[in-house]
Amino acid sequence: MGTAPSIKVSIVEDNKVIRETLRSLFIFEEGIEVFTVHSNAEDAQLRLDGVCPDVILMDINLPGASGIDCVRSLSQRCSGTQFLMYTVHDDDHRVFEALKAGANGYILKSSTPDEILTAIREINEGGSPMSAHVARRVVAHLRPQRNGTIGLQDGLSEREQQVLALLAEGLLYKEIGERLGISTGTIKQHIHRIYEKLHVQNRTEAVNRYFGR
Amino acid sequence: MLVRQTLSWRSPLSYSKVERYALALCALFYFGIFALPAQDGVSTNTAQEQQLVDPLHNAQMAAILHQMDIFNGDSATVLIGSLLSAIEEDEIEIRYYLLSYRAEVLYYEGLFNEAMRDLDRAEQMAFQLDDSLKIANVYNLKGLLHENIQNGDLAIPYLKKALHWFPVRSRTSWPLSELHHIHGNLGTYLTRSLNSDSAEYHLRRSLALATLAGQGRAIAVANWSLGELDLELQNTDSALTHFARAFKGTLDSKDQDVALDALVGKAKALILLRRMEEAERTLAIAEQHLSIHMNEIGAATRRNFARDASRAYEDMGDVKNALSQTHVWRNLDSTIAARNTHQALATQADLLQTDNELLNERNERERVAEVLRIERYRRNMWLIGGALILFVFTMIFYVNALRHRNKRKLAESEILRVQQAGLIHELQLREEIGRELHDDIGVGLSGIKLRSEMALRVEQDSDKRAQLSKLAVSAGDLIGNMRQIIWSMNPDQEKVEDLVVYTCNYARTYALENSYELEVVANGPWPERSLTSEQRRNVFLSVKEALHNVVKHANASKVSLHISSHSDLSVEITDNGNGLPEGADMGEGNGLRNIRKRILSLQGRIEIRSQNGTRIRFSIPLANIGNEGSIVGAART
Repeated sequence: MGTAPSIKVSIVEDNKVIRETLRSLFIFEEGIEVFTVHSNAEDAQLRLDGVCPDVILMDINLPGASGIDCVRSLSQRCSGTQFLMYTVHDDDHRVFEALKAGANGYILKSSTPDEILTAIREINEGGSPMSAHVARRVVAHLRPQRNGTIGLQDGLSEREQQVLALLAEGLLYKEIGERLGISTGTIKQHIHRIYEKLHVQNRTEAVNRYFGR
Repeated sequence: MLVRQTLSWRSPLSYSKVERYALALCALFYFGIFALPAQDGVSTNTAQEQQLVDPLHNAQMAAILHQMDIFNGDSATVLIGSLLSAIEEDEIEIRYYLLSYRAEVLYYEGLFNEAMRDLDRAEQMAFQLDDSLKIANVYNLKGLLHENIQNGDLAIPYLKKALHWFPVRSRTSWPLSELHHIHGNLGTYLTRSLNSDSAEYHLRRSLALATLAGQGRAIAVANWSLGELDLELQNTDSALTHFARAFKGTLDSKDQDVALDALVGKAKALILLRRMEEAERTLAIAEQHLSIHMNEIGAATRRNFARDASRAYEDMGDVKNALSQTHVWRNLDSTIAARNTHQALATQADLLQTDNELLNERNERERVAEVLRIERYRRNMWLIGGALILFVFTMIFYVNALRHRNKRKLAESEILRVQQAGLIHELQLREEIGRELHDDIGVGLSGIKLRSEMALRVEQDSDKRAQLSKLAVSAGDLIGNMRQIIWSMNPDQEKVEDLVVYTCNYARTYALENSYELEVVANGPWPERSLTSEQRRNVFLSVKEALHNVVKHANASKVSLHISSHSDLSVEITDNGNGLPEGADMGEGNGLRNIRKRILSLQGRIEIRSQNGTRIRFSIPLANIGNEGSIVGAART
């Protein structure tokens, strides 16, 4: 992709092999440039003060502060940055926490290099992946807990709700796309928006927590 | 007894015991000499005379009479009593004798009521025996008794009845009243009641009978009684005659009291005739007589003599002698009275003492009863106290035991809770360790995979490419397996629905990767049950294994996966492939055997069919495992 500007990517990963491999992957890839490489959250928070990449590839399991906290603090500063969680498995409740904290997507560490590149491009364009597990978590999260509480569900569009529901059932994007008559890319864009609303919800809850209701 | 009555107009009580028994003895003596032989040859109109059959009884009777003779009233009573109890009830005659004798003794003792009682019974027996002599005897004695208990009105009728009943001829085994006795008594009592004509008649009769019987004392007494009567009637000459005869009659016997009485009578007659010196002389002789025979004359007789003598001296104008006799009289009187009083007092004292003793005894008894009462009360108090204490202790013990039990229960539940918490903690720890382990390994493997894939991008050499590819795939598989293990342990994934979603998702992904058509039918509603990690893992892996088989062996184009749940979880995997090889129906192949093993380990059922393809159907029970499934899960929720 030569016409679009390169996507600036930062890497936060404590495993040396993966870190180096990713760096070499991005370096040799057109349209992606390595912004910064960090081995821990503190380093990232320090050096990314004032400067923001387009995408941050964030490991959850970091020494010291966790990836989730890093996302939480950096997303405040770098509001335009897309946080892509890089995790061993997606069934983790930590992934969901990261998503609530400000992450916009996640990829598995078992992904192939191509999948990683695709994910970065997609998230930069506003699309996000979601597993069935995460989808169910989101649904559970959105379910009104008490009578009268306004859940995020109210803020989801009908399409978004549909996508969410089918994801929660365990359908693949292909199948969802066939069912709803939309492409996989569109699905991912819906997911992306769902995450955004999750962040708002999360922030609202945090704010409300601070100021009390 | 008998003689005495004949003798005296005075109350027999005024005679001392000695006198009475002496008289009785004399009577019996005379009776014995004269009367018994007189009985021989005399026909009887009475009931058969019975000598007592038992010689022992005879001897005892003799002994009784002897005791009476020697004035031993107590011994006599005792012997009479013992003999009475020894003999049979139907030996009426001897009982009669014993009762009449006892009446006499009692009479002497002054126990008139008891004497009368005995006489009543004797009267009954006499009538029973139809023995008129015995009847007459009883009436005579009753008459005497009544006279002495101041019932003079009844005395004379009884005596008259005695006369009436007295048989013409009489026979008796043992001494009883004689006719002259009855006449004598009657005469004396009639004299007293100033019925002089009748009195004289009876007395003369008595005299005549006594003379006939030859009983000296009786004759003397009769003469004396007549003398007294003459004095009453002022027939002084006749009186003197009679008194002389009376005195003469006593010379041969021991009847000194009769002699004394005769002398006094003579003196009284002489005084009436104004022959003072003779009277005086007579009285002196009398006094002499008295002093000579002092021992044989009782106090009562002496007192009476003193009284009569003093009166006589008074009449003579002999003041000195009169006074001295009066003095003697008074002395004797008071002595007798004193003796009686003394006796009375003694009796009184005895009674009082008995009373006292009784009182003491009663007090004692009451005291004892009181003590007993107190003791019993005390004992009761102790018992109650003890019981109360026991009760209190029991209550305390019970309450304590209860409290302990509660405490123990609490402690037990506490322990249980701690244990559970410990267990939960342990499980959580295990999970964490597992996860951390997995994360480390997973990261490492991911690194290897990534590296290999990176290298693969730039590698041209086909051998190396193959190697790198294999490496990548191996790493990827390992990571996948680990993810599945981690998933099965994940407590967030424990519901039935989670398993279904995960399995279906996997199946779809696998189908996509391996290019076969997959139909998934998995419709709710799903039970809210939790599944253990064994159940999740085994079910999932069974499905995974089955799908793997389809890809490896079946060569199928269409696969369907059906999952449903009611009280169990049912899974059905069908393919339109080759089916199973020969003899593999029961799951001989490794993969099928594994599936079978997994399902059976969950207490499930499995059915494998091979017809137009392969159909694997299995179900596992959900019932028992229910909500206990994961303690960790329960803790988390």
